[in-house]
Amino acid sequence: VRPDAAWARRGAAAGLAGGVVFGAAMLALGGALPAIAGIVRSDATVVGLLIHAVVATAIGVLFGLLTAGRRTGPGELVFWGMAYGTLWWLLGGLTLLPWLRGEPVDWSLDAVQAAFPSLLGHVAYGATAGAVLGALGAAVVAARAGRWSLVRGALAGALAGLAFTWALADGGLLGAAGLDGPPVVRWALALLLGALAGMAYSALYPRPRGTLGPGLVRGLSFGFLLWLALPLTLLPVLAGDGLPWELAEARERAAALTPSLLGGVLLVALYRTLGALAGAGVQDDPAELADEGVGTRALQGLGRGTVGGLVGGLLFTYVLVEVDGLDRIAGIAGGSSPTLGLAVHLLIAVVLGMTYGLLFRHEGGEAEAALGWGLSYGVLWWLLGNLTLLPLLLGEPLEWTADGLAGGFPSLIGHLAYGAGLALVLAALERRDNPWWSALTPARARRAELRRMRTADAAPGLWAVVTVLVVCVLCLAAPPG
Amino acid sequence: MRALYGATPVHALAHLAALALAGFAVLHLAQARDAANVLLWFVGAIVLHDFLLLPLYTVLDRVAQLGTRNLERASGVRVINHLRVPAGISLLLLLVFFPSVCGRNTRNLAGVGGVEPEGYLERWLLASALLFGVSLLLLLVRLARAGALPSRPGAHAPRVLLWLAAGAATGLVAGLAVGLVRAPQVAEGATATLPWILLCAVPGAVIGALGAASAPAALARGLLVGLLWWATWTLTLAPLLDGEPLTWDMDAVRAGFADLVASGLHGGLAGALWVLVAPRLPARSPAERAAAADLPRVVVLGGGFAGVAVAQRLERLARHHPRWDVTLVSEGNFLLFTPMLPEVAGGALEARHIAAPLRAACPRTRVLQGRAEGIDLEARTVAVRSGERELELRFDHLVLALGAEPSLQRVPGVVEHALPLASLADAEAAREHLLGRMQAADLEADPAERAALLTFAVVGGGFAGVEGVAELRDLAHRVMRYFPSLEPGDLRFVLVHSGARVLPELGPELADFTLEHLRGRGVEVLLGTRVERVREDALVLATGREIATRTVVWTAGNRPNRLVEDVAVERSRAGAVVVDETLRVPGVPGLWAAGDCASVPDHHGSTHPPTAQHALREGRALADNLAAVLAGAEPEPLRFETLGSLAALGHRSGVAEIRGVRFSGALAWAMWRAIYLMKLPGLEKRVRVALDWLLDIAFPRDIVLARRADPVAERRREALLAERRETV
Repeated sequence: VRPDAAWARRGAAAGLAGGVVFGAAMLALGGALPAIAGIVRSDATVVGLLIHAVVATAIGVLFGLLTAGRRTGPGELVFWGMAYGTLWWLLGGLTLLPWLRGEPVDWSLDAVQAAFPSLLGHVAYGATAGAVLGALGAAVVAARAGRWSLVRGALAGALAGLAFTWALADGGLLGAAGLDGPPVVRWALALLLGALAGMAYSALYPRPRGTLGPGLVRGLSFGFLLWLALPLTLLPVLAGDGLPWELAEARERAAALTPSLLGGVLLVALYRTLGALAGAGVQDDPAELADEGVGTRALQGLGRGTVGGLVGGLLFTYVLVEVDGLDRIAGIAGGSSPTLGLAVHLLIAVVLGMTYGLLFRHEGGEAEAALGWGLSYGVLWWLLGNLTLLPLLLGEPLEWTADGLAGGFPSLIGHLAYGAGLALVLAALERRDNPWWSALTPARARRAELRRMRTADAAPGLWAVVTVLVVCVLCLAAPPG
Repeated sequence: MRALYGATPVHALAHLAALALAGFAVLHLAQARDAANVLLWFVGAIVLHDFLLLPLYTVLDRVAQLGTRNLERASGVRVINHLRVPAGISLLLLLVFFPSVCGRNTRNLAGVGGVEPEGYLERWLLASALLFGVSLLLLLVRLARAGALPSRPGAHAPRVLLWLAAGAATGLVAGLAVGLVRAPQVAEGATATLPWILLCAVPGAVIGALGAASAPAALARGLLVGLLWWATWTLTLAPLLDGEPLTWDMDAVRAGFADLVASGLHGGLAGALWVLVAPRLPARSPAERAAAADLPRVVVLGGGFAGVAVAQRLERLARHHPRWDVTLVSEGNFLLFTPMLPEVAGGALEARHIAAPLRAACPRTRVLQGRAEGIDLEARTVAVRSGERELELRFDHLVLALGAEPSLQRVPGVVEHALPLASLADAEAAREHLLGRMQAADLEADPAERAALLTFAVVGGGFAGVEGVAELRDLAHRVMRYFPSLEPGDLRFVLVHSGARVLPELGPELADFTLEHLRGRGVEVLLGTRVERVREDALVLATGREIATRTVVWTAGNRPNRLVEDVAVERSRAGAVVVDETLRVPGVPGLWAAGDCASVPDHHGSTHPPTAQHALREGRALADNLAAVLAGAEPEPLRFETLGSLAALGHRSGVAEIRGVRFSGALAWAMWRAIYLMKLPGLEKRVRVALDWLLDIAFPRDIVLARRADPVAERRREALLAERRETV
């Protein structure tokens, strides 16, 4: 499909819609629009709004042309939009805007933290533009959500919402999510918003393909969107607290970020599980099943995951040795010696490697996909393992606050190294099954190429959103200077 | 000096110096306060090293050798030494600095040496990483020179470098643009920015190495690589090179944050530029490239152990490049695991569970189910009949791995009245035959006929005969309960063998054990006895004695597949194709043979025995040599000694000889099961066979007769038809 005027028109409409959302946020925050007007040496809000609308529409056109004809569904377009928005934050908000205003470009942490509302605005812009683009029929892989998938999504979302609220209540962090009202209201909100979020997810991804692993990463990215939409926008606005996008306020609500992300992951896991349960009895068509049986898949995945996990675990060990982290891990087994810590750490690394081998089987065959899924899986286990399970196992308070995120940052580096090492080893091992030239017939080669293209068109957007998430965590975690 | 001492003077001097050093150390330590502790430590270290660590190194080294063997063969580079050398030095460092690395005995160290043992573990890890890194780099250089580096999709080795270089150049251009904006923001300005710009080549090269991408994917890739590069360089490598401690804390993040933005922007920009650069690079889609390549054609005749080993090895050797086009022609579409055939006859295993489909075993080989009917060495073609089709396959290299077939013609009546035990169908037929005879005997009133029906004779005292008679006996006894009129004493099993001892491959002691075991379980074993003829109602021995029986299982004697008789090459007395030690047929370029149809000389002046173990090794060696010849290298002679032999003697008993060590009884039986289970091709089949064995413990054997026709009648009809064809 070649980009043409129709794609450009859709992009313009999507960009304008994203611009409206971003513009509304800027109006609520105040101060940002006059800064934009500074490009034409004015300080009038209206001028700023006008320039903003024009720019938003123009980059929307570019977005429409870039995504023209890609094999993406509506959900993927939302994530592509979030990544695209962030790129414009780097290029536009942090670089071109000061330059056009005749000010020095400043990329220091202080300046970036001051521009944090702009980051959220750009992400919101991208997500809206992506959603509108999908709604306007730009999604090539168009699958409509059936009634049952909406019900399934609502159920999964409601359960995830309850788990989210319970976890926050348990950690005494309800205020961070704006849920510190009366219990009845809180639980009703949790159920209602969770169900709505679940339905939104099922509308974006009615028929998931492939293994569960990429689905969990999608859940992570969806959780990021939920954090932005609910505790950071909708709930405070409903409570009349205004838009808490400024860094100081956002840092207070950072404690809701980790549970939102894990809530998104839980939502997807439940959605898929419910789907599998519903489908187990009725729609088990062998034509849709994988080539090998579950036994072969599981055994191979476990074996390879073990090797990959060990390699990744050894990389992570270097970080742990540098920051003296092994003693703390030994605490899981009730000890405190680094040797015990190393044993426990490697055991966990192997077990998680096995889960990766099962969850991402044949998804990360190429180096890029391996890096993308591996790093995303590392981030997921940083949130679930380091920030959640480890404190729980050690009987310490949860580390979801901004300061907790900051303290866990060395571990994030370790998790990233672990994920990358694990996934690259696994990709090398999986290549034995499917060397790139192995297709014996042209038909098989075409099928393989099609599958590769589908991954290439959908998955990098997700990986980029995980990158954005890490940048966002850094901005929130670093104490303002 | 050499005559006196046995080595060069340098050797003697080095020895003396080492002894002097050791003497000095001993004298010095003897005066120390805790000399006893030192001695204890020393003895402990020797025990620990020799009994625990040395075996561990050996195993690790063996594993590493196995892992690197293929790469070594393909490249000619000694890959293993690139692991051994850094590992050796790293271990030596660990040994020397062990107390400091472990943080033990710090008080004494600080007191004696005046050095605080801080940071030794980190430094040791770093030194080890550096050693392995340098070794890896050297290895890559050597492999690249040998042309053995795996290439990225659609490109040969030099093309990878081209893509890397193009990516690096793109990274530099993007780095220049971003660096100009970054320069005014950092304290040292231009001085610090130039190295930063130059280093941008690294993330650029990564973006390039990952291949072409669509515009949005390239932008996303740029962001991802940017973050990764920031974490790797700004937060880790740069402080490490500056000798600063690695903390990865918020202070480090604050200090390097401008570089995070710069890396993200750089990644995005390099990604955007890459969209313009990548399509101009020479690369084609994998399918197109593979189709365009004119690959040498290899045809392998025979889907037994040797043929499948050749095909699988060729697949492994061509993992990174399409190097040849391999076609495997086999009469069956599966690889039969013959060692377990007697257990199928005994009903312990399901027939299909000991056969691996060829298409699954060799997924990247063309598998053609059919029978080779003629080989034209001049025209380099093989005529193959596959069902109703007749095909002509052209080859550059032809591998004969047709195996052996039972020789049934030598003794009259065998073709008509005996059951062979060489294929899945044979094994199933033998099982059904035995059950059918027991069923008939259950109704038979005439005592003589009943005795004949319940007499089961097996001819041949090799593995198949001994294991066959043991399994059939087990089966008969385990299903007795279904035939109320039969008594265990009614069953009679006879093993007839022309040699002086059974299982001649295993030596006299194990043969004696086997003989005693079989006789102990009620099997009549007739040694040194030849068969004169087989009748429908009896087995006639050369001594004139007749054994009244309705069942004769024939396992005596195999001969090479008859198709090799048509090939105009030298053959052994047994009829096998004579090859040289490299598995090539002398005088016929491009013709190879392995397995039971080949006579392969070993380095003792004899030939390799026709067993599965040897067929596998011959197949692998043949593939290696074929690859070498195609690469213009010299093939290597096959060097392989029998690892051992195992035989199962029915219910929880067996005999085994592994590397000259003999085992018998339950242990040998367990070894048989463990070893053959591991050797069974395919994970799935292993699980299925293991489950069969498990269920066999829990439930009685099945007596279902699934074949409609009488197996003996069927066999007789087939034999008559075959005879008629030969006459025509």
